[in-house]
Amino acid sequence: MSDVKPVHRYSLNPLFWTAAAFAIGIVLASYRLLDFHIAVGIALTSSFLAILLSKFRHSGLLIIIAAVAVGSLVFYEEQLSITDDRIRTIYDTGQLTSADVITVFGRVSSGPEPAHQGAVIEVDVSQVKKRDAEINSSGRVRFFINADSEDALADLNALGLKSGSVIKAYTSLDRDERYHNPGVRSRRKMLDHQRIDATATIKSPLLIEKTADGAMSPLNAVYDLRRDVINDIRDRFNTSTAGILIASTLGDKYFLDSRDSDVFRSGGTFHILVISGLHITIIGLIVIFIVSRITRNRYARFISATAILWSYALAVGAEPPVVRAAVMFTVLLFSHVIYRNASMLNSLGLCGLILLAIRPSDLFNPSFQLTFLSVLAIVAVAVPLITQMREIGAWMPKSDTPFPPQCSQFFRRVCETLYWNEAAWTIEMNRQVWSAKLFKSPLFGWFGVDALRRAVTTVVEGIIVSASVQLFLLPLMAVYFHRIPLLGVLLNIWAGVMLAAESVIALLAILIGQISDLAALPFVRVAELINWLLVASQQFFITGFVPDVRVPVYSGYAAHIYFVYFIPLIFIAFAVLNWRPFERQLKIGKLKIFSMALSLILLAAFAAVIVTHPFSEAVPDGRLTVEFIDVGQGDAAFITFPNGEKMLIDGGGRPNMSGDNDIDDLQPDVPRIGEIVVSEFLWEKGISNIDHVVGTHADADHVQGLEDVLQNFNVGNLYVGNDDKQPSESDLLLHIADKRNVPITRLTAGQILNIDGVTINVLWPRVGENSALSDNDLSLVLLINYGERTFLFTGDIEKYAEAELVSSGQLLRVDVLKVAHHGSRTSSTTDFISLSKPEFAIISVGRRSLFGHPHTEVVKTLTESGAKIIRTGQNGTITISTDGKDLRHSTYIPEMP
Amino acid sequence: MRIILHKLFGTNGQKIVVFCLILATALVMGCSKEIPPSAQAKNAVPATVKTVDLNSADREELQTIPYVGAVMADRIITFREANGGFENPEQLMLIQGMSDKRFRSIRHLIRADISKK
Repeated sequence: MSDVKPVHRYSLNPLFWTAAAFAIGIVLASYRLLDFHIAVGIALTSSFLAILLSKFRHSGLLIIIAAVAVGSLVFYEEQLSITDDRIRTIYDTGQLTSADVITVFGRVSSGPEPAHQGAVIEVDVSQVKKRDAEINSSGRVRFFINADSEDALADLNALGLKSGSVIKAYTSLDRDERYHNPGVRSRRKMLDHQRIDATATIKSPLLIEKTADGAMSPLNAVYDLRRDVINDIRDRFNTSTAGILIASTLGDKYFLDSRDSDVFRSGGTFHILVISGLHITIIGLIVIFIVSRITRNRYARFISATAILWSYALAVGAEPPVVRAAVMFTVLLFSHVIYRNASMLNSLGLCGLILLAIRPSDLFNPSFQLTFLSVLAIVAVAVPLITQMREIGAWMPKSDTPFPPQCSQFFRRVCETLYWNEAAWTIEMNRQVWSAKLFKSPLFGWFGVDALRRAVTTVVEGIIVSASVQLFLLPLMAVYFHRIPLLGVLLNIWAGVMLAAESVIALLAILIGQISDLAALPFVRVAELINWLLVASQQFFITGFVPDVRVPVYSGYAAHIYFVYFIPLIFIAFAVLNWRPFERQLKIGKLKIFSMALSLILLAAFAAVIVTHPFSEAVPDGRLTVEFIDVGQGDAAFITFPNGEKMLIDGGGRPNMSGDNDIDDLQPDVPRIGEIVVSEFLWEKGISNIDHVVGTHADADHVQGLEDVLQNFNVGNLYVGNDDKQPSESDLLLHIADKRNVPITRLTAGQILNIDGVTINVLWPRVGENSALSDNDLSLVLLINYGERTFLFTGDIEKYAEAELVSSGQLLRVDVLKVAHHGSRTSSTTDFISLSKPEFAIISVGRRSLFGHPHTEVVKTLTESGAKIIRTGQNGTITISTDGKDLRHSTYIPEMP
Repeated sequence: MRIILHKLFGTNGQKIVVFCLILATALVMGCSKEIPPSAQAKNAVPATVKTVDLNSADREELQTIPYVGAVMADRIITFREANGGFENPEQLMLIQGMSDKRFRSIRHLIRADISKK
């Protein structure tokens, strides 16, 4: 009807497009696709032209081009800031290693942050002294100060470390990659994303000397208060409640119990345990609410709200995700202050520009991506959708909306059910001089109770928000966490509400507790009850219904699906943003309906592919392939049979040094080898089921990892030895196998497994073997034979078992020997080695073994027998494959020539 | 008991007496907590105990220190050679196997003579 040319859509949200272009520039620079000098040239000419030609309609495009170039430039500039004196450069170039004992001089930038059995500080290092060489340096190092006794804690407090304190400490720095396997997350990259150059442990507060106090900072009072509150919470509440409260309200995640954390991870609600954008938003909204009641002045509101919010963000540690969220909130608030009808998308674009301009490498930071996409989902899909639904449901004839909305009948009825308030309409009509009859047809009445309608509507809106976020985050969840929490949408709302309630009651308990502990007690108990409910209810939903789905990832060309997924999603977001049901159109374009339907179908299809991951595994190549995974101290060998069947022998694990723990003791949320190394390794191969899993013997560094494997994968069979000791370190593994309905088979010497032409002989232990033998000596020993090639897996057997095997005559020459007990002198006797005379001797051991493995005697024996020794700790994953005749080997880290 | 109190002091007096009793009990209990535990200097070294010098002791002498066996003694000597000796006794904790807890129990038995570095 109108002759006015529609304004070009991109000009409605110019900052968003600029930010997108900026991001593209960063990506181009990171892949070296846009040369530095070319970028400078493009940036200058585009900006110049844009100013010259500003009257032309498409001059905006020139700004976009300039933004791409500037993005690249900012990325290059950040690379330049990695100067030669940075600790990370000093370390990466080999001037410093993790074995060097050094003296570190620096200034405390944050901390001390209370942690389990110690404290954590971050230090801006100014100098490092190695032997007598002094190296000037820069960069930030994160230290864990070990203080596991009352005396040590007293010494730590006596040091009086604060932000700004200048210290000198004796320690060793660590920037090594821990587990060198294909697909395992790089530790260095994670540290870089956190802006940390290296980590280190200081074994005692006595190894630290404070040489000067920093300048007085008002922040120190805040940090002290935070520390006092943390200690108060730990005294007042039980372990689980304390951990969750301290993490979610004060930003200290070191007291989270691993059992609780696992429940939250499975439910897809872990992010509410750590201070993140969600917290900042909620706290920000609360602060706004309070401030609005106090003053009407927009500027006063903005300044006071921002001040409070930033104080909170700084007080809880100013971690990058928190700072990002605070920046976003400040910008969004600011855009309201300057009276513009703030386009949230535009504000989000501005946030993106600011954050990426400060730290371009954040674009590749999973944490940044998750935060940004969540907010984008809310701003681009959830909020517009909810706004439109409200307008449709509560429509009354008004000057700007004289006609009823144009949308599907069913959809209109749903909106009216949720948002139509008959009473409000009656009041409105009584005010007007005209009257009208509106044909509203809600699906059902609310028994006349409007409060019920509002309550349900709030829940529905919550579900829409949660679902949008899950949709946007789906590929990232699959790639970074290998987890699709199916109940995430509902659990997030449930858990969020419960946690908010718990926090409020806990706050009351703490405040009242300052006056009287007795009076606070009922509040403490209620908070603990809610906490229990919070964890138990999620646990119930997960075990009772469908748990989270663990998904492997595609590699190679198929991995593009994780990007392609966003194309229909962006199209749908566009459609929702530009949907104007109140702008009467004579005919809704067929093209529009068709493209919308196509987008929805494509999105659903891509999502299904990501979740069900068809054809994600590699095609079987007819070879028997054995991969010895680098799990540090421990064993884990992954075997692929010629027809594609899979077997895992042992899964690594961390030995439990602390002995028997009280169930109430805190189990720190330390990442488990079975999850971050073995499962990760398998997921990167596109695997989600394993036909055979073998646990050679009941030692944590062999079977602990299998606990995670059995939870995360569909396992066909579990094989264990026949030791019946109680209690055994395999108990939990067997329990999990039982719960997951995995058949358990006990193997004894003499049994043979035939898998696709490959023979697996069980050589040890014999039936009725003396059960007084150690766990190690009762390890399963497997001889795997394919064609002319043999592999011998020995677990942790020691002298006795080896001697018995030698005298039994079953031991023959083998091609590949997995050296027993990580090369310890308890094993690998001369007789055993000379009889097996392996071509390859694989030692599965950490880069620096606490026990000194492999022992020099063993290395000598092996070398003298002519074996080629390869260690997982040095070379990472060791791959040996055969077609029955040949023998090929390769390592993840190339061997020294 | 209460009847006796009531007869002696009247209703209000009864309350006052009970209150005084509670107050007295609290005071007594509080006072008993104020007696400080005898502060014993845990780390006071009797003059007769001979300390081992980390910078000059040989393998045998090092092994007289609790928790220090042959392997640890070797490590101490290796540390000495690699880093030019110990600047203070606390640096012993930098050796693998010497934790903060262990160190605290033996710190009175060692010293680090920097003139011997």
